[in-house]
Parts: sequence; C-alpha cells; structure tokens
Amino acid sequence: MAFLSKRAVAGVFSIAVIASPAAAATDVCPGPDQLQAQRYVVSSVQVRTPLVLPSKFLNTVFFSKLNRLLQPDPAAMPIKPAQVFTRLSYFEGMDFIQGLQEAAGSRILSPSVRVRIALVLPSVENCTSPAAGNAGTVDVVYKVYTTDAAYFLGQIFETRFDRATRSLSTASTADGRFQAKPFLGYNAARGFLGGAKASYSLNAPWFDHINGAISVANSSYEGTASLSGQKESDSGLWSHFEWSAGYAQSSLPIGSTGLNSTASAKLDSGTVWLRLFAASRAISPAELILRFGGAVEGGLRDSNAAIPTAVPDVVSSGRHGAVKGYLGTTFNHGRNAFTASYGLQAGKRSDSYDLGYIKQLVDVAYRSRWLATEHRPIRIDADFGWGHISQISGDMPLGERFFGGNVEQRFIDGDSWRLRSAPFIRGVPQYRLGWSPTLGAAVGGDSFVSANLTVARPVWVYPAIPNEIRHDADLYGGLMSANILVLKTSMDEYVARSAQFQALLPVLDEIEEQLKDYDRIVASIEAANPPDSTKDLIQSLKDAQEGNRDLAGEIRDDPQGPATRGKLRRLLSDSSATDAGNALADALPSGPQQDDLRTIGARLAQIQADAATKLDQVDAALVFAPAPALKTVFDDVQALEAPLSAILNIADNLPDGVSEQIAQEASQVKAAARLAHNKIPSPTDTPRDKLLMIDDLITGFGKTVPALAEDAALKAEVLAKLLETSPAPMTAEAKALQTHAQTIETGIRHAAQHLALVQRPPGERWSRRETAYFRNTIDVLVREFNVAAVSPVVTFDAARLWANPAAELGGVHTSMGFGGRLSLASADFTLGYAWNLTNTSGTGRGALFFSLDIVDLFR
Amino acid sequence: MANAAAKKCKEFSVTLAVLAPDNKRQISFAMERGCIDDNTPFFILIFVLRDKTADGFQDRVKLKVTVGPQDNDKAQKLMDAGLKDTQLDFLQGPVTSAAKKLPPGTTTDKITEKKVAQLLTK
Repeated sequence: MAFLSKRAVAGVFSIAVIASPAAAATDVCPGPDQLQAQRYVVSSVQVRTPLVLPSKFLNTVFFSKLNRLLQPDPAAMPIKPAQVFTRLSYFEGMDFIQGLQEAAGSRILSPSVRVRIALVLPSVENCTSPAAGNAGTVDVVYKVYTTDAAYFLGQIFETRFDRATRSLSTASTADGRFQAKPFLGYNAARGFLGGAKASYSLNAPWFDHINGAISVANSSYEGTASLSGQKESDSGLWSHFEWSAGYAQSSLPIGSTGLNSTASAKLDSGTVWLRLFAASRAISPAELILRFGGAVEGGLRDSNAAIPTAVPDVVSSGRHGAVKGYLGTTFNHGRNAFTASYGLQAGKRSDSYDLGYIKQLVDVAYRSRWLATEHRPIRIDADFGWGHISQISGDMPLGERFFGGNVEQRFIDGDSWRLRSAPFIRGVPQYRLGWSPTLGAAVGGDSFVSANLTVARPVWVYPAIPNEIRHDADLYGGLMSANILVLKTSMDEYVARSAQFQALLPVLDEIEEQLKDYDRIVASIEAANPPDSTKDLIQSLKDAQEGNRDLAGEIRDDPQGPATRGKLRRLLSDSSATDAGNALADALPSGPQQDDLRTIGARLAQIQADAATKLDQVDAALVFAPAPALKTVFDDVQALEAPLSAILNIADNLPDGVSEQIAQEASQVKAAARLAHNKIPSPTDTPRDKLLMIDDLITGFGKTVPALAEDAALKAEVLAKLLETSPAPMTAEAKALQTHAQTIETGIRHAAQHLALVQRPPGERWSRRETAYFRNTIDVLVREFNVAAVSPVVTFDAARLWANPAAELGGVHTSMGFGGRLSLASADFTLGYAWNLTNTSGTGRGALFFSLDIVDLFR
Repeated sequence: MANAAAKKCKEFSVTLAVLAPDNKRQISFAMERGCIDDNTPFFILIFVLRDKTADGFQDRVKLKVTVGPQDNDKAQKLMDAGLKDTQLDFLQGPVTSAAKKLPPGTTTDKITEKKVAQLLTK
C-alpha cells in the first residue's frame, strides 16, 4: 500500500509543480508602488489557475469549460499590454476578474456544486529594468484559485446516474448535447474490462436524455440503453421525479468460475424495464429526505449452470417478469449520515404469469466523518444488508437468486438510489458467493445477511483553504461579516413575512393618496403655464413621486421578500417628494396651491414618520433582544476594550530589530486584537448589532472562527512567551501582555455567563435555523474540504448466504482488506486487496477491489 | 515606533458562493482589498442574494460598497465589524436612491461618492 500511496502522492505533486509559474524572471520585480513611480510598461496580462495539466489536449478535454469560465476577454480587461502600469489598473484588473468569478459562481452552483470559493491574487513577474531610454516592462499575473477544478475533475468520472445519487440534480450541468466517458476497470471475476458511458440530451417532452453504457471483458459483457427524463416540483412534499425506459443485456460469470475458465458457468440476462423514482424535499431539522421508486421489468434469465436436483424450484433458464418497489430515507446529523431502504419484488413463475416468488431487501448505511484534526477526518462507512426470497409457486430463474461478491448489485440496476440486492464482500470475486461446495454447483441463496465496514484517514492533504491563511484575521473578519449579512437578510425576511409587518403595508396606499394629491395640484399649476423655473421644480417633484411609486411597486410585487423590509424603510425615510413639494410651494405665490402643497407635504411626512415608528416596533418585537439582559452583557464587553487596546499598543510598538518570529507573531497579535476591538459594539448600535457583535466576540463562529476576544488573548500569551525567552528578553512587555490576556479571559467568562441568559428574539432563532446550512458549509470548507487527499483504507466484510438445507453455501464468510484512497474533491478512488479470513473454499484467497464514490461533504 | 513586520498593503479578492439546501437560493459574498499605495488600503464588500425564478436565478438583494481609502481606521472597522444596521439602512436608502438617479453608464458621481463616504460615520 505504501507503493500505492507514493505513486498517488507523486501524481498530485506533479500537478502542483506543473502549476507553479515558470521561474523566468529576468530581474527581481519592484513592488507595485515602484512600478507605478518608474512608469513600467505592462508587457502581458495573464490569468492562471492552479490546476493545469501538461498537455494542451488534456486541458481541452478536461477543463475546457473551466478555462472558458476563468479566462476574461483580453479586450475587456481594464489593464492591457503596452499600458503604463498603475496600481489602480492593477486593482481594476483583479476587480474585473472577481466580477467574472461572481457571475461564474451563479452559473456553476448547482445541487452537485453547492459551494464555490474563488480567490484572486494579483502579482507581478518577469520584470526588465528601465535602461537607456527604454521603459521597464512587467508581466501582470492574476492567479485564480477556485474549487472548480477539483469539482470538474470529480465530475469527469461521474455518470449521469451517479450525479443524481448524491445531488438530485435539478438540471444537467453539461454544456454539450452529447457526453461520452470511456473507462477501464478490473474485477476478479471478469478480469480487465473496458467500455464507455454516454448520453445525448433531447428536447423531447417526456424524455430529455438518451443514455447508453457498455463494458466488455474477455468473456463477459454488460450493456444498457435507455431514455430518461426528470422533473422538479416547486411545491408539495415531493421535489424531484425521474423516470426511464430501457433495455439491459449482460453475460456474466457466476459461481466458482470466471476469469481463467473459458468453460465458465454464465448468466445471460436480457431485461426491458420501465422505472420511476421520486424524492421529497429536505425536511428539517435533520434534512430528512424520503425516496420511493418502482419498476416493471421483464425478460430472460439464461444460464448454462447445471442445477442440482437437491435444489428444487429453480431453473437455469426461464422468463423473468417482476414488479419492484422500494421506500428509502436519508438524513444527516452533523457529520453523520444515515440511509435506510426497504425493497419488495414480486416475481412471476418462469413458466407462467402467476406469482412465483416474493423477494424482500433491507439496506442500512451509516457514514461518519470524525474530525479530530482539521482536514484529516476519520471516515467510517458501515453497511448492513438483508434479503429473503419466499417461494410461492413454480420455478424461479437461477439468476434471480442471491449471488454475492465484490461488485455492488443494485435492486434496480442503474437507479439513482442505492439499494443493494445481494451480499457484498470485497474478498470474493463478483457473483462467486453462491457456490455450494457440497453440491459442486452455483446455486445461489434464498436469504442473506452482509455487513461491511470501511475506515480511512488521510495521511496527506492539500486543503482548499491554505494553512497559511486559515487563522488570518482578515479571513476571520470576512467570514464573520458574511455570516452577519446572511443572518440579517434572513431576519429581514422573517420580519417581512410577519403579520405585524404585513399590517404596515396599507401605508403604501396612504402614501399613494398623497402622491395623487400632489398630481392634482401639479396639474392645476401646469394648466396656468408657469415659468421655466417652476417647471423645473415640478419636474423634481414628479421625479421624486416616480421614485416613491417605483419603490412602492417593488414592495407590492414582493411583499414578503428578503429585501422588502429594507425597501419599506427606504420609502419611509425618503423625504424627496416632501422636499420637492415644499420647494415648489416656496416658489409659488401665496394662495391655495401653496397651502395645499405644504399640507400634503406635512401629511406625507407624518404618514412616513408614523409608519417608521411602527416598523421600529416590529423590529423591536421580532429581531431585538430584551434590553435589560443585553445591557448587562454589553457592559461586560465594554470592559474588554482597555486590555485589547493595550495589547494592540504593545504589539504595534515593539522595537525594531526583534526576531522575524517575534515580528510575525506581533503582527498576528495586532491583527487579532484589532479585529476583536472593532467587534466591541458602541452604545448607539441597534440591539441586533450589539448581540451579533457580542456573539462574534465571546462565542465565535463554531469551530471555524474562535471567539475573537479569546483568540486575541491566546495569541498575546504566545507572543509574551516569545518575548520572555528571546535572547534580549522583554520582560515588561511580556508581563503586560500576560496580564491583559488574563483580564480578557476573565472578562470573557463573565460575559459568556450573562450572554447565556439573553433571550434570543424570535427572528434570530428562526434565522439561525434557516441559515444553518451556510455556517455548516463554511465549516466544512474551511476545516475539512481538501482539493486532494491520500488515505490508507482498512476494510472488513462479513456475509452469509442460506439456501436449501442440502445446498451448504460455506457458512459465514469474512474478509479483511487494506488499500489506498485518492480523494479529488468530492470523488474518492479506492483500490485495495481483501483477503478471505474464513471459508476460502470456492471463493479463493481474496480479491482486488476498486470503488469510485462521490462524497458530498456539503449536503 | 512602527512594528518591524508591518505588512505592506497587498491586493486580494475572495468570493464565496453557497447554494441553499432547497436549491432555490444562492448567497454570494465577496471581499476585495485594493491599495492606493503600500500603506493605504481600501475595501469593497459585495453581497448578493439570488432566488430561483422561472428564468433562472435572479438578484433579490445586492449590495456593493467601497470603503476607504480615506479614514482608514473607520474603513478597517467596517470591514471587521461588518455592515451595521444603520449602515445597511443608509446604504439601501439614501445611497441607493442617489445611485438610481444616475444615468446608465455613470462610473463616477461626486454626490453619490460623498454619500457612500458618509457610510463610515454611521
């Protein structure tokens, strides 16, 4: 396995090395300030991505879409070759690319890409110094780091069916109408195999894709062709439907044959099917999703295996017909995911359409990621399966009995929901579990149980968020700012949906009444053909009215939207109509028109002020914490200001000449203390702001961002130790830092006790529930998500088949395996070997296993 | 005395986009740091909330605010503390109203810029 790991790591490193910019700088580049001052000329503008392949062809094949998304139109870039370098154009280039990234994010996000991050870092390279009247030149390079490449790489190996399995994709992300994905593989029963999966998108009303897949080995093959469609529902319990019709044909070895036997016993199958699958929308709080599916299928099951007479009611060849149905559920709790399914199949007799047998299946799976160390989660996958066939009448085809092995068999083959229909054991080649040593024949079982355990932990990782910025104050500040905006927007939506807020909306009609009154007066003034100066004032009033009406119209169009509260507040604080009306009144001679305009203005201002007061009351009831409890904790955090300022001051005023390590630590302390200091609310902040800022300061953002005050104190203590132990100890500064850090820690404990007593307003409670996915996503992205990782894998499997008492199938089979896993974003490639620990008779010593799993960390 | 390791201003931009579990809402947040010179940063915050409609995802809330380079401490404070309610109301109120009155294609407007600068005092 060490061999595997080394090779895998080498592969990833080769990508990283290729990705590094060529070291072709002719001179060391001065900083941007100097480049601007010395009027360097831009020789080229490049956009680079961290993941590229050494072949243009491979890049085109794998990343053409990605490159299209990342490469800006050179003509549209604010910074161009031959221009004199300026810091402003250097920034504008980055801003332009950021805009493209923002737009790309909107398009790329989909159920299979739930989160996307893009980092743009501009740099200058390949400078040539100015000489003899020639300007210096510089290459401007924008490095764009996104999570896209990893996702695109993962999707290369994903089939249409896989995608739906993990994501319930609402739309194909494919650009083209035709997609084909070739593959090579190996399994112990079939040997080396190759094939392809392809799909072609249609515009037909019921079916949107033609799908095909084929795999061929030395003496076996499998192939399918189907038409499929899907539909999303925006309302009701069920959100996603898929259906398909198709045909599958296969010829596969069964029993103790295969591989090196040209005279192997084979199972030939041909099946026509009609299938339906549906999934519910996520039901909070555990994001529980219900699924059901069904199929009607018919065809042939033909085998050349001889059926011993000791196994009655089974024929080697016969017609197959069945109705299948299943129910399943999946739900998540933190980093734990559970799935459970039950399947029922009613099969016909091989010689008539009468009911011949009933097959029942249970499949339970548990997936856990234990994140003791960031980016190195211990992954535990556990599966349990059970199956039973009740013979009702007549004979059933051999191919419908249970045969196990190291290739997963699904109840409804090709379905987007996994329900295993046979025992899975990695040490036994495909279909080989089912051989009866006592009968010397492949007879399959009529009952089974199987259990599987897979444990893996990364030993090498390439995190999506580089370690050097993981604990950067700017990152902390940005994440918290984003979280606050998400929470506030959600709270605004809660307010807008409330009955109290909706009761305010008649104010729109009251405002409109006043605007109409303005219209009436303005019409009478215009009728008298006023001077141009008055006409200008009239136009100002009309513009203000139009602005008010537009805003009122937006509110009416979306009365419960996340921006509606803000729009109403904007309308209520907009005095432009009143101001313009009064200005017009001032320009008119004394008289009824002037009086009317002023009266309307006063009424309008009063209506706005009254409604604004009511809106404040709605805010106070729904999104503001109770004042007395908030005041106590507010006072607590005010006490942190002095020690944080002191720490900031010490870190900012260390003498020149301190070691690089101390200087770097001081820089971090300064940034952390500044961030914490700026999170201390002021008395004029709203109760909502106070509480959110105190949360950041005292509680932090889960494990993603620590409590900011505590972070500053801990970093100050680290700096204090460095100062104490430096060659020229700075004892006074160290002691002061320790004292202030302790004061902060004591203050945090007090504040935390009082903060726990603050009753959270209903709007905040609702918003925290509604937006938990955002914080969970950030947590996974920052603490767990890897662009690439390599893990050793340990597996253990146990399986048992039962058949007719005369057909002993070897009792309990167990296997243990070791292997390696290469993870590329969401795709896990696992390769290993499993040894059979018991009952090797008929199953061999062990088998190579390989799997490709799509793991959606962000679901 | 200035710290020996005082960092020079460096430009960077980070954009984060998240799709809600119901697949009907996107949240995008971006933060950019620009530099007038090595010692004078300014910041841009961009927040977009999109909802799915029959025509695809449409913007429902969009905020773009530039803070700094004047009054650097206050700009840094805004970046650290996040947009406060008074700042959000001001941004969505007078600033948006002023910006909406500008003719299409306007890239600079002193009155609007002055209003945005007032954000730091809110």
